[in-house]
Amino acid sequence: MLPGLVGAALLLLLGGWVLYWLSGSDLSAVYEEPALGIISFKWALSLFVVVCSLVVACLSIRMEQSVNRILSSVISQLSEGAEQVNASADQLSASSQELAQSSVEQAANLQQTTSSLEQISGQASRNAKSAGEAERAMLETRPWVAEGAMAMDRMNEAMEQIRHASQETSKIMKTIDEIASQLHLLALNASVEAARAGDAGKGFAVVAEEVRALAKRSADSARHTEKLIESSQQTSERGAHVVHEVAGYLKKIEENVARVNRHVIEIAAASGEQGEGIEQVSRYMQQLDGAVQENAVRSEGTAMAAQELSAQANDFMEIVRSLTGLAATEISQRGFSQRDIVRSDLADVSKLRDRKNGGRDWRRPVQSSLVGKSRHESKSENMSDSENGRLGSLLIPLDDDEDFNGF
Amino acid sequence: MEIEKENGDTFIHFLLGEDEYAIRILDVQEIITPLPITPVPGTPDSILGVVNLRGKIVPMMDLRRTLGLSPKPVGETSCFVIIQYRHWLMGVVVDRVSGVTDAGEVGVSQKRENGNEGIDRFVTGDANREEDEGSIQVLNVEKLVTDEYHEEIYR
Repeated sequence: MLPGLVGAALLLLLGGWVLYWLSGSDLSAVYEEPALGIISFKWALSLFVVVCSLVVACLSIRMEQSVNRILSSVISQLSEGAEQVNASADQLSASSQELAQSSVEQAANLQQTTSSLEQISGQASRNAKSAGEAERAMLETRPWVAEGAMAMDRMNEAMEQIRHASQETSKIMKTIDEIASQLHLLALNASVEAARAGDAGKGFAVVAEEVRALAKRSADSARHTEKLIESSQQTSERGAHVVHEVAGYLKKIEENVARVNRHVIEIAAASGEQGEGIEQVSRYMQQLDGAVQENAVRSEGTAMAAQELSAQANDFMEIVRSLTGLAATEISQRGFSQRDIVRSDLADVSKLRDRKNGGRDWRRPVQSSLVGKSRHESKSENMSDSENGRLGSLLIPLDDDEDFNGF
Repeated sequence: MEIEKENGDTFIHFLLGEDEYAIRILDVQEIITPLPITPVPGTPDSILGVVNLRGKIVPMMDLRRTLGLSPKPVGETSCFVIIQYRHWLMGVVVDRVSGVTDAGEVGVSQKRENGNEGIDRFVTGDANREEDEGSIQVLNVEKLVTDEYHEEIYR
């Protein structure tokens, strides 16, 4: 309103000065002549200037009113938007921080799991090694057992031969016994003949007696030997029996060794597979660990970006508040309330936002730079604070000069 | 009473079961391994049959039965003792010939009565030996061969 009045006043002064200039010039005579009959040109011109001044003053007042209304609406929408951005930034910051914290916890848990997995992997590989050794030992044992069984067969044969030989010897001993008893009879007959011969046969009787004693001795020896042979025969039969038993046990041992061997081979294979599986799981866990660490770094970055965004939103609010201060007087005079303006079309707000961002999405470069940075940084396990700070500055490309110039 | 003791009187002794008996060596013709015995019908129970000893027919007497002992078949160790009395030959089956003893070494005493009819009839005396070895009963060959039961055989 004030500029309109000022403009009208200026126009009036200008009109006055033109009147004064016209009255003081040499051509005043020309102009003082009544051209239109009723009033002179001079008065007509003066009237025109006054009317123009009034029209300009009215127009300027009207324009100012409409501009003020638009400005108030824009300010209130801006204020609303800034508040929303601020709240969203706060929420984003909080959730990002939570995400970062949980990612760190997850990473710690993952490390523990990985170390446990490494222990299990070590045990599995030791198991596999032991099973392999057992398998080798069993493989070495098998031919020995077979060899033992064959040796038992040979021993059995030998026992059989001993038994056969004993039988043969027994027969021979029987023959010797028979010969001894016949010799005994012969000696007796010789004694009879010697007795018949009377005195002449006395010497012969002695010889016959000696022969008889010899026959008796040989018969005794033959019987004794036969008994011995009989007992050795029995012993060899018992031995053959024991050999049969041992052969049976060896067969069982052989079967069991084969079974144990099968099981040991299975155990070795299973241990190997287990080791491989654990190795694979360990690799996956390491990958997962890397991903989680990356997540942690990213969420920290996001949290920082959100904080930065919140700060920017606050700055934005300040600017909006100062703008509101400028327009405050007009608004209060005309009875505009901010609430009325807030309820205006939402489409306008979104259009305004698009305009505010200059038609480009500022998040895109931020995220791409973050991703690039995180990929680069993920190789190192932890980021130092200085690096985080640097990242934070990289994350926020917003510049006061650039983005708030429009306001 | 001591029986008459000839110079160089020697006995052959043999076993019948557990008991040992003796015969004067001069009454023995020979001792042979068992030969097949051919039974002869119509002979007394004590005669087992006859054997062919190098062409001579010799009757075999079952000495066990004669002496009243339990019968026993001819075994592996059995021998036939061929007894000669005058011109008569007779074989007896014994379980085993145990040896030859000089009568000078062992005294032959009067036989003891033991109530057994056979033994009382044919045993002339006991040859005393070392203690715990058991006694040897000396058989009377003449009586064995010429016993009235067998007279008819040799007639």
